[in-house]
This record gives sequence, C-alpha cells and structure tokens, in this order.
Amino acid sequence: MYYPFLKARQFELIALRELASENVTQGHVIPILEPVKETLNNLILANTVFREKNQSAYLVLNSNIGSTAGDTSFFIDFIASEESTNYLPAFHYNSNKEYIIKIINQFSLSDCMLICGNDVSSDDPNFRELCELSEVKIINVEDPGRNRDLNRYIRNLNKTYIRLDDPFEKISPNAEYLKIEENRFSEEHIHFRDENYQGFSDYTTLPSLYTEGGSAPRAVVIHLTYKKPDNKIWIKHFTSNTNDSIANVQGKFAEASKKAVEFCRSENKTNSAIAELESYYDEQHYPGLGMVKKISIKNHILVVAEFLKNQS
Amino acid sequence: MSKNIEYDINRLRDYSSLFSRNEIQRWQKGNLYSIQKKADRYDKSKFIGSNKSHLNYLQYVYKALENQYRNEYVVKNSFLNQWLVKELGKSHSKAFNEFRVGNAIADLAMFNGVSKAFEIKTELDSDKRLNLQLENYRKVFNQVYLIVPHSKLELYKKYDSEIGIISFESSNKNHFHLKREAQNFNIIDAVEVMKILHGSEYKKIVINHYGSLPKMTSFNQFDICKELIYKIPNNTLNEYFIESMKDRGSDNALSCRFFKEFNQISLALKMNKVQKKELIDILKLPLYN
Repeated sequence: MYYPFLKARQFELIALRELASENVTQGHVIPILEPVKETLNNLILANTVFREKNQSAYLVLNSNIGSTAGDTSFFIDFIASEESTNYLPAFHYNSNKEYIIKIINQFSLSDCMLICGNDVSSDDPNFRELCELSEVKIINVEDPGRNRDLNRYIRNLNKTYIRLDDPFEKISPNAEYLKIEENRFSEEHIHFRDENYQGFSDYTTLPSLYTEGGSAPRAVVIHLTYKKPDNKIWIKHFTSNTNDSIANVQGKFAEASKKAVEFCRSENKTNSAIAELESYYDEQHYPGLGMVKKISIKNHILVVAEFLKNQS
Repeated sequence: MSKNIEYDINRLRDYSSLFSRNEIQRWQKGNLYSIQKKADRYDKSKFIGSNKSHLNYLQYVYKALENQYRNEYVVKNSFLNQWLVKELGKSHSKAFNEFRVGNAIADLAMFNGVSKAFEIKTELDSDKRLNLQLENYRKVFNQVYLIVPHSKLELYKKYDSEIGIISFESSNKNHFHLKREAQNFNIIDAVEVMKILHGSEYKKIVINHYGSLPKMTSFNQFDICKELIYKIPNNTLNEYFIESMKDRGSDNALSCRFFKEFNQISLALKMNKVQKKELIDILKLPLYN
C-alpha cells in the first residue's frame, strides 16, 4: 500500500478527489492529510467524494504545521461532527502520550496511525505504551533505517509498519532546476515488501517542508515522475527558460509545458494527468500554478498506483 | 510615560520583535500570548491592577521604541504617519509596502497623480546596494526619495543628484525634513512596466487605449500586449500605469489619528479597514484582570 503524505490544501485535495473518482487509487493508495489551516471546506468536499468512491484517507489530528499546529481537538471535533466520514485518525508522536490517549478514549477511536521521526527511542516507555495499544493499528516512521533498535521493536509488534521517505529535492530558486534534467526519485515501491514493510509513504513531488504564502516565481517547473524499464521511478524537472523576472507566468508555463508534452509524447507516457497537461498545451491555455501542482501530484500517484496494481 | 527612562538595548530589541508579520497574524487569530509574555517579563508591576488592555501595552511599547530604538519598522511607521498619510489623504491614491522593481524592492511606493518610491536607510543599514536600487526605481517611478538619518546626510547626498532626500533625527522622536526635492523623471521604461503589471492589468490598458483586445491565447498574450503597450506614448503609458497601481488590491486602511502604531504592519499585511478594526477589537482585551 502507498501512503502519499500531503498537506490538506486545495489542489492536493482536488488531485485526490479526481483520482478517487477515476477509481485508480482504491485498494492501492491511502493518502495521509496534514491540515495547515482551520478551514474545512476542502476536507468536506473531499470526504463526499471519498465516501461515494470508497476511498479512505488518514487525517492528522495534531498537525505539526501552519496555523493549526499543536495537540488540539479541532480536527477530531470535525470528524466527529460529520455524519459519516472516510477519514481515519492519525497522530504525530512528540512526547504527547497523554493527549493521544485522551483523544482515543474520548472519541472511541480505533484504526489509528502513529507517525514519528527516527529520533524516538525504542526504550521510551510512553512511546511503547502507545504502540502497544490495540487502537493503534499502523505505525509510520520517517527514514526508519537510521534507528535499528526502533525498527526491530516496531517490526516485532506485528502491526502495519510503513516507512516515510522524503525523496523530493527542493532547489531554490526554482530556476536552478534548469540545470538538472532528471534525478533518481524512489524505489520503495519495489523493495518495501522484501524489507518487511507493509507500506511506504512519501511527500509525492512536493517538498516536505511547509511554507506559507510565497510570491510569484521566476521560473515555472513541472515535476513529472515516470517509471524506467527497471521499475525505478525517476523525476524530470521541465523548467521554463525565460526566468529573469516574475513577469509573464503564462509564457513560462508555455515553455515548461512544451518540454513536458514533447517528452511524454516521444516516450509514449500517458495517464489522466498527462492528458490534462497536453490539453492545456494544445489549447495554449494557462491553467494557473495550482493546477500545475495538481497535475504533478496526480501523475506521481498514478505512476505508483499503476505499478502496485500490476504487482497484485 | 516612557520618555525619561533609558531602556537596556536587549529589552528594546525584545520589544521590537512584537511588531512583526508573524506576531500580528497570531494576534489576528486571538492568540495574544506573546504580548502577555513581554508584559510579564518587563512591565508587570506597572500594568497589573491598572485595567489596561493589550492595545494600551503595545502603544506603550511602541512609544519606547519610537523614542529609543529606531529600526526600520519604527522609521517606516513614523514616516507613514507623519508624511505619507497626509499625502495619501489628498485624493484617490494607493501606497504599497515593499514594491518590487527589477532586481530591487522599494521600501514604500505611492501612487496618486504621480508615482513615488521611498527607500529607507536607517543607521543600521548599509548603502551597498543603493546604486542598483536607485537605477531600478527611476525606470518606473516619477520621483524617487531616500529617507536617511540626519547624521548620514552627507554620505547620501553624493548619490544621484536627481533623487530627493528626506532626513530624520535618529536620537529624537521622528521628525522628517525635506532636504532635497526629487526631480521628475518623465520617461518611464515600458519593458519594466510590463514586468510589474499583472495579466489583467496590461489587458485593461490595451482595451482602454485600443478599444479591444486582439485575438490571443494565454501563452502569447504577454508578447502581443507588450508590443501594443510599447507603442503607447510614454506620458500616456505613465498615466495608465499609475491608474493600474491605484486600482490594485483593496483600499489602504491607514490613519494618522487612530492606532497609528499599526499603520506599517497593516500596509504590509494588506489589511483593509474591517480587518484592522477586528484586530484592534481583539487587542482591547484587558492585559491583567
């Protein structure tokens, strides 16, 4: 199972809604959503589609980022207030056992996910107590190879154990991607079972670090992942050439999309995200940077989902 | 009340951290903890039992900074209050905090009948990038002003003689003096103007001048409009540019009479009158009950 870890923002949720509607993620992909704002509209809209299409998603109840950060009850109150929800509870562990246990008991939660960094000690009695709760079904550890004690401890719990990696390399400023044609991206989808994980997680083609706002970019980059013949996933950075000012973002998109579309056509790469990009390019229509992000996320999840589907 | 007390520099620095974008966004959400913390740290005995609000405390802190710690926030805010607000009041006009032109960002920009850029250099700033900054500003602004401490007047006078200079006293409460009038730059650089205008703005200029938009797609609209805009007589383009900037964003919520401590931050956060009032209402909560 693939667990893409995304911020619960507008275009991320649109990507997930569309994928669920296309029936391509069910059974292979369960997203983890981390809220950044106390606005619920996009989560409500997504929930409607997820319910209709039988897609589940984890919602982090104690987000680490943005204006909603902290051990609060805001998002569990939201889940509890929905008549029916496909959101499952997820918690960041940061020495907050009391909070997690309180929320689990107060709302009678089951099927919880615990997310932690690899700096947690396997001797930490609070952490062990949480991991051994029957309500905690799934444990997600960031880069677990770096803490072998922890790795061994969790593996022996016989729960669903997933690893979180951060393969996307954020380069700043954006225009610097011009120098990099492509990078190796990930191979967890090939190896996770052999390495005794039940799933894997990453931040798709987005940086893991959350930044608020941001100004108009000097370069437009379309990050597209694709599978090489040996099944490893690589990422290409299709970057605009005219990057000396922030003017004419439409023209920058024209330059970047031309490169992306030419690559996909020459390599016969296609899926619903690529088809959408091609239609913007062919119609010479600039859809906005949010849509560029949506296409990039969708494409990556589609590449992974297709691989997993063919494996099963 | 703070006039006669000399504060420790670290205390002033600590005070000054209250007037930042992040802090104020937190207050807007009702989280006033940072204000409480500073009050507890330095001023509890003075304010406890006094019925004063968070707002009163911030005004007290601002006054201390204004008298003794002239960082860019304070200089910019004083300049807004003592100078720009009056100029802005005259007519339909617009001010911007941090206005990008080419490779530089003007500290303040103002558009009414003409366009003006203001660059602030406090005692703490260097003049390293100044030539580059001025070169950029004069491409699109009709007047460019430097705002500098009185003590550094001679240094800055040596720069471009067509640039206006306004000086302020570092030691005293800010009084700004016009030391040199800015010359008018009548020719603006259409290439730079195109880089500043948003898509909807340059399309509107083309419609206003030519009556309609030519056939174009979003991919080529910039290049097509650019060619048309380059052909507009320069003084007319200047007027179109000023009008576009005056229409950009919502109305400034600046006032030299009410809560003048927050003018700069409300400009930086692009707050409108309603948002500013909401913030003030939150801050009216008592500090110590």
